[in-house]
Amino acid sequence: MNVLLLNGVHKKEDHATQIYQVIYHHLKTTKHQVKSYNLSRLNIAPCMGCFGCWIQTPGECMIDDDGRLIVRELIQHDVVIYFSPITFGGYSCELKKAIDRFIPDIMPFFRIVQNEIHHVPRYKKYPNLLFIGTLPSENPAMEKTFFQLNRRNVLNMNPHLYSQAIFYHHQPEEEVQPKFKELMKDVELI
Amino acid sequence: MNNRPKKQVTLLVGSPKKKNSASATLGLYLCHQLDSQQFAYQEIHLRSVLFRKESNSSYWLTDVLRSDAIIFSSPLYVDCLPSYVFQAFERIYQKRKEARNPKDMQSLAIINPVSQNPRNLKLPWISATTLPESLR
Repeated sequence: MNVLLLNGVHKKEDHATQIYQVIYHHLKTTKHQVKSYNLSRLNIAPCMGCFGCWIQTPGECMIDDDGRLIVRELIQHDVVIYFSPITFGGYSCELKKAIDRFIPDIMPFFRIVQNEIHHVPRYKKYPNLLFIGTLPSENPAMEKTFFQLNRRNVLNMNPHLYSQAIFYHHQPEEEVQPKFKELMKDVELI
Repeated sequence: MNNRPKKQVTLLVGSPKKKNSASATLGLYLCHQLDSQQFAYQEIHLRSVLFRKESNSSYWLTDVLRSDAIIFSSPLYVDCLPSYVFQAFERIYQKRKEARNPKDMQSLAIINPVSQNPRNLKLPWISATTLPESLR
């Protein structure tokens, strides 16, 4: 399968980078095709809320930068991993600026999903999603918000399967690897 | 006569639009309701200050840290606050951490969503309210 790893770690977050490296190297040892992007190194401008990607150039963002690349990559992969330090219960601003630019992949029209208003999908198939957050230590309030946010994004991005987990900075590689293997099973990477 | 200094309120607007955004309108409406004898307010558009190229681009952080209260007014992007609002939160948090005696400040968040899904309104509210918790 094709796996896309979106790394939302800031340049100076060593603990999160170590966890990311464990996951990345583990994925590389599998039979899957893995592509990763360090979002902090890409030129992705924040969404300007113009809705041009729905009205003027349907399916493509009006801003000509690396955001367009990530939108295309997202829809062309079987599994996408959102990897991010948890910030105020949400994603890092590096990952969030990419996610805000994903709206060309859905339609401007609405439908009802679980008694809520959501956008109609633009494509027939969307990638399965794995959400991985990192925290310095346990923080029940932030963890609850993070999981809730991921469930919301599942409704928006229409994956067939998804899974989510949080890794703590103090966790050694021996703990990260088996937990990550369990996540891989959830999205049928194993 | 009341000689007490006016309390400083800073309105942080999270809309990408420079003028006439719903977020700025809602935030300013609230600011206009404040008693002008007791409060002075200023308006900061986060997108403008975060992406300014001048060397003194962090002046707005000093203004935020001097405030007695901050009001966030932001649209909802993909069930959450827009990326640059998080970026602003991170910078405010960092600046407060570095300050020797950070001032106690109150905060309030206004979120305006495009569609009315009660459950997606809950999340940005939680994210916005974790900021003051983190600041204390």
